[in-house]
Amino acid sequence: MKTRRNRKKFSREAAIPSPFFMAVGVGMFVFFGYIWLDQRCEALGRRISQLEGQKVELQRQVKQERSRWESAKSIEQVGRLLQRHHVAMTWPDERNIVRIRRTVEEPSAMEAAPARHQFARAGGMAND
Amino acid sequence: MVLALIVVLALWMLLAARLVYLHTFPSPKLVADSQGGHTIKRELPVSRGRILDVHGSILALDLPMKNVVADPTLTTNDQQKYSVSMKLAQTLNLDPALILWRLERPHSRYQIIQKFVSVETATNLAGMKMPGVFFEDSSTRRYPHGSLACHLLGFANLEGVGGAGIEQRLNELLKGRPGLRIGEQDGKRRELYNRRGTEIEPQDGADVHLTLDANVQFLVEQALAEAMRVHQAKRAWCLVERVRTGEILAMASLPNYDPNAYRSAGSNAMKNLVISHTYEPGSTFKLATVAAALNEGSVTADQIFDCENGKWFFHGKVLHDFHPAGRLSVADIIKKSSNIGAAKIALTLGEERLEKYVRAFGFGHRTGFDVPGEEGGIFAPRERWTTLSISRIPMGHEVAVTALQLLNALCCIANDGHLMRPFVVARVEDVKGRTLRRGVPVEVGQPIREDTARLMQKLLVRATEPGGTATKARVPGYTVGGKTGTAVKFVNGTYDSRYNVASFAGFLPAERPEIGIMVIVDEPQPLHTGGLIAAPIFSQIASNVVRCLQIPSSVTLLAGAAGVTGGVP
Repeated sequence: MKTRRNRKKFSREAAIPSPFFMAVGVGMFVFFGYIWLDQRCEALGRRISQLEGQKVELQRQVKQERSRWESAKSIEQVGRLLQRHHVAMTWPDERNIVRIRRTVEEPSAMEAAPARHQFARAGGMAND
Repeated sequence: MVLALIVVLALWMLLAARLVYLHTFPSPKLVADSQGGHTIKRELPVSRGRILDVHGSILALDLPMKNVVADPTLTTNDQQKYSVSMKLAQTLNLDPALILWRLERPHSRYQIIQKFVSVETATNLAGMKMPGVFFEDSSTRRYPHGSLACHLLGFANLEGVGGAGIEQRLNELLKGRPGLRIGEQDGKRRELYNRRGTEIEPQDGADVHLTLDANVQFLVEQALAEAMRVHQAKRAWCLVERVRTGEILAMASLPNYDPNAYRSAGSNAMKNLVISHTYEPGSTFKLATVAAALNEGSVTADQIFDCENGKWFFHGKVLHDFHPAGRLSVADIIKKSSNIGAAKIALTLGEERLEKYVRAFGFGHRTGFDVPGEEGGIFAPRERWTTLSISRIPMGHEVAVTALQLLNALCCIANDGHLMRPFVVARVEDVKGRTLRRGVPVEVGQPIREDTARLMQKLLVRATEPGGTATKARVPGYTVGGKTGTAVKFVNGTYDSRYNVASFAGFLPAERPEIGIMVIVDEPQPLHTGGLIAAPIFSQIASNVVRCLQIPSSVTLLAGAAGVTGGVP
C-alpha cells in the first residue's frame, strides 16, 4: 500500500528558510574577510613602516659616508697624509708635459696602428 | 528553540547593521570625538640640498643627527637620576651636575640634554635603556672641507636657514619642502599603519653646482695664508675668474672661519672681502683710464708725455710718482705706473668721457654677483667732483672699488673688450635631476673696441717685462699681462704712508687669455708695494692654477699657431 507523505511534517522542517542561512553565510564571509583584510593591512603597514625605517637609516648612512669620504679626500687631508709619509709632490715642469694633438677625424682601428707607428718613428711626440 | 535562535540572530544582524551604518554614514560629531585623540599630523623631515664644486666634490651637505632629551617625571628616585646623569655625562662628555640639575625638575616633561648628537652615539645611549631619556630626529649642516670657500658658501643656522653666502641667496631652492603625514595612533601612541590618510612626500632641497674649483680654491687659500704669515698682513683676498665667461673659479678672503662652527667666528672673519670690502685701488685703476683714452683716440700708445721727474703741481696741489721719470710714452706710463702720466692722459680725455668709461667698466655699481653682500663701490657723479678729481681718479684715488669689480674690468680687456657678468652658480638641480636654474655667461657691455682691448693686453704684458713694475708676477712658460697697485690708506682723516694696500691684477696666457687673477694684501709689513708683495703671490697662484686647469703654455700656443707638431690638445 502506498503511504502518503505527511506534508505538515515536511513543512515544519523547513521553518528556517534557506535564504536566511545564505544571508548568515554571506555575513560571516564578509566578517571574516574584513578581519583577514584588516590583519593583512596591519601586517603590510608594519612592513612598510619597517622598510621606511630602513630607507631612512640607509640614507643616513650614505650621507654619513659621503661626508667622511669628502673629508678624507679633501686636498688639505691628502696633503697632511703625504706629509706624514714624507712624500713630497711637485707639479711637473712644463717641459716634461707631453701634449698630444687631438685629430679632427678619429682614424679607424686598422688605420690607427700604422699611423701611430709612423708618428712615433718620425719623433712626433713633441715636448712643448 | 528555533524562535530563540532567530531572535539571537536577528539581534546580531541588528548590531551588524548598526555597525555597517556607523561605518558608512558616520555622524560628524562621533568622527570628531573619536579622531580628536587619535589623529596625528607629522611633518616628514626634508634634507637640505647639497652644494658641489665644478668637479662634483661636496662642499656642503645635511647630516641626520639626534637630540637627546629627557622627561624628568619619568626618573622617579634620586638614585635613578644620579645613575642616568652619570651615564649621559660619560657618553656625551658633559658635566654630570648640569644633567642632574636638568633632571631635578619634576614639573617639566621636556629637557634638552644635548643637541646634534651623532646617530651612533644615540644608538649607544638607547642601548643603555635609561628611564625618561629619549631621542628626537634632527639634522645639521656639514661642510666637509672645513673653512674652504667659507665666505662663498656661507652657512645655514640651526633652524636650517641660510645665513650667508650661497646658503642665504639660494635658501629657497636649497631648503626643499617638508612632507606631511596625517594618520592615526592607538591608545599607546603607536601609529596605526593602516589608518594613514593624507601623505605628502617630502621634497628634498635642490643641489647647487658651482663653477668654483675646490683645488684652485685650496691653492689660493694656501698661498694667501703663507703671504699673511710672511708679510704680517692684516688681511688678504684673492679672486680667480675665467676671462671668456665670467665664471668664478676661486674666491678667498683671510681671515676666514669654519662654517661648521660659525657661531664662534668673529665678524671680521665672516666678511667676504672680495665683494663686500671697498678700497681705493691705486694704480690698478690706471688700466681703465688708459683703455678709455686709447679707445677714444685722445692718445696713442707711443704718444709722449712729460712726467715731470716725479713731481707735478696741478691746481696748487702736488702729485708724486713712486718711480720718478721724465718723458714717457703711454705704453711706458703703464709699464712704470706713472701717476703723473695717468693724470695727463685723463686730461686729454676730459671729465665727461672719463666718467662714462669708468661706469662702463662696471665701477660704481654692483656687478649682480650670485652671493649676497656685494658692495657697489664709491664713484661720485661728475657734478660732485673737485678740480683735483680729474688728476686723482685716473690713478685710483677718490674712488672705491671691490676686487670683483676690478678683476672683472681687467677680464673685460683680456676678453677683447667684452664685459661679462661674473657668476658662480653653474646650475641648480632638483632631486630628480631637473635643472631649475642655469648660470650662463652674460655679456653686460662692451666699453672698448676689440682693437683697443688687444692693444691694452700688449701694454699690460709690458708691465711684467724687465723694467716694468710687475716683473715678479711672471710665470715660467706663460706670458702674463697685468697691473700692480699700491694704495696708501686713508687712516684717521689723512693718507698715512705706513698703511698700504698692495695689489696685482693679471691675466694669462696673454696670447689667448684664459684666467684672470686678482691678489690684494692689506697692510703688509715691512715691504708694501704691489710689485713686491702681491705680484709674487700672483705668480705662485698662477703657476699652480695653470697646471691644475691644464692651460697650455704660451710656448705651446705659439707653436700651435705656427703649426708645429705636438700642439695643444
